[in-house]
Amino acid sequence: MKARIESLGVYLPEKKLDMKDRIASMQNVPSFDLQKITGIDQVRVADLSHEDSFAMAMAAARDALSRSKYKAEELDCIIIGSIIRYTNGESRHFTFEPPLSHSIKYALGAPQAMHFDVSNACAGMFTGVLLLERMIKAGTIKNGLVISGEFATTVAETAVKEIVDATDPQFGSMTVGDSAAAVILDRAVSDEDCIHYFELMSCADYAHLCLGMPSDKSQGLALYTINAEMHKKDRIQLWPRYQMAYYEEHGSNVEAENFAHIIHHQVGTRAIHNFNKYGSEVFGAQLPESTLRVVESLGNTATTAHFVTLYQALKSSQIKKGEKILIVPMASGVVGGFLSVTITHLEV
Amino acid sequence: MGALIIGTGISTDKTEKSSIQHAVIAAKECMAKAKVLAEDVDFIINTGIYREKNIFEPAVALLIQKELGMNGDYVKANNGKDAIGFDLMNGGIGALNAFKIADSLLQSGAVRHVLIIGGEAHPSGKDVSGFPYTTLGSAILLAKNVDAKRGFQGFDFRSRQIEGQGRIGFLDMTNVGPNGRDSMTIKTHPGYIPAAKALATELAKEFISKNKIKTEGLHLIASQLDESFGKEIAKGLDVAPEFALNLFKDFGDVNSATFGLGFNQLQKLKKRDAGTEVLFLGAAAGIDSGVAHYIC
Repeated sequence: MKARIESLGVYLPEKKLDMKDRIASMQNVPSFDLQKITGIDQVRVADLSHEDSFAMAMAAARDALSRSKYKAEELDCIIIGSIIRYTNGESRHFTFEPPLSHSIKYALGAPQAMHFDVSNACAGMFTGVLLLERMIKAGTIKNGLVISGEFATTVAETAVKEIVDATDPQFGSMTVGDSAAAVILDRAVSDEDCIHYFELMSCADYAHLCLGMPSDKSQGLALYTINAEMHKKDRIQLWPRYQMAYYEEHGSNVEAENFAHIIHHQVGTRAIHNFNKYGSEVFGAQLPESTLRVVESLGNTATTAHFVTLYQALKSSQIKKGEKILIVPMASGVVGGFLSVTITHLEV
Repeated sequence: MGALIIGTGISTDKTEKSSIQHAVIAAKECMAKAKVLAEDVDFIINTGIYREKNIFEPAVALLIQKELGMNGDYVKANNGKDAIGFDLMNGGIGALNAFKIADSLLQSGAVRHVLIIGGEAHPSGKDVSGFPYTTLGSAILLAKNVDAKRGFQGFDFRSRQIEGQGRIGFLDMTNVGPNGRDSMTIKTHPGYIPAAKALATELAKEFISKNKIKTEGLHLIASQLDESFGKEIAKGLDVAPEFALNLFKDFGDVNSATFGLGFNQLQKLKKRDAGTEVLFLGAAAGIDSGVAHYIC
């Protein structure tokens, strides 16, 4: 038995912020061209009066449900995978207890669903998808919904205030944008629409390379990343080596898989270019030419990045019916993996 | 079904205030007892919700995983073994969600061991008045079960909406100033504990009846929201008082660590012979309840 992506929903806040304006608002504007390095022109910024983590997650979930064959009351499991769980609008309550998934399932009309929140940095949604996929394959649930309402720009607000110089560990926070995504999984009925395989791992020697916690300098959440170490070639190549080992065990290779597209974590245009380059070196083969991206117009949307990218590519018909896509999760921890999926009937 | 508990460990040193260190100590004891190497654990699920400095990235599970030496670097280890860690946040029933997940994962055969960790710590690393949970750590190791008469026999979960969600714990990011790493606001509604007790009792009663579980000789490991919580639930379920583990007396409310601690204590009391039946019954803010039937 396999699982499939049955429906996909996205919510993007209306407000747009040009990267040059974010940079200009910094207390200490860097001497280098941050916009050029990241390739990010614009991000979306949530208005907390009506777009906190809860509200954005609800909007994305409703979008996914609007095209699903399932009604909320038919869902077996609901998982929230957000990093930032802000509720109560402008009061900015970062919620730890109860999980956001409890209030979400009631607001959606799914009180029967098992629910919990997952926290796993930018791999939060993927972790939810992994758990649903494994439970569906084991036959212990029939379907499930993974959601993230990510108010990521809260760390950018802190970075703008606190970055001192070019070596500051908060520079990564300058790249983030807000969004929400939701994905419904159920049992696949054919290979035309299915997750062929999905593996995820965390290499914990690098768990301290990116730490998120409240700032001790000002009021705000902060993310401290040693980018040079995080995006080192050896770290990036954990993924293709892991995927190669899977192929060695299961008798395939990246060329034979015939992927039409690849989706990486949307951290920046140069970084995405390097992910492909370092991946190809290990595979000894070219990765798909079609590297799907939204980073230029949405920035790094953290947990939702790959799902928003998939949604936009379907919307713009970049992905044709029946094409196979390689999705490459990457997150602090470091978490890495690979997901092979064919999409034929998924509409957005 | 898929999962069998093969080890437990606890960490109860009152001078230790780090949820990560408690988890590491408990997990090491658990792994040593089960004679399982770090490299043979495939999933590390941290169910603790309150953590030092309010760290929100990476998953605290990964900081624990690092200290346990589990899949530090997949390429350098070069042994073909991997592992994934994550935090599962659902308070007093998080471990029950994790049991159900582990039960599914272990059915596949591809997963060998699942480590489930629990424990709460105030973010400040200090004893803070009003923080309702005792700081300690517990760990449970699950392996594939091949005997249908043993292991987890079934699960159920139920939620309800009550005023104020019973209890809310949040970081007030408009009022913490630069002290966010040390702060946590917890508000408990006066109706929380009675409502949680009623929901847990209702769920367990129906679960026992539906699955024809005999309450005679059934050990109850329940959340301990206050001193009488477990006792009154046991009474409502016709479980004899001596079979209802009283964790509150010695440990207080340990929230996500309840089931690891409880199963560990059953072993200490030499009440875990083969065939012993256990009912895990959790209560959480929201409000939520979860139940699992387990045969040793």
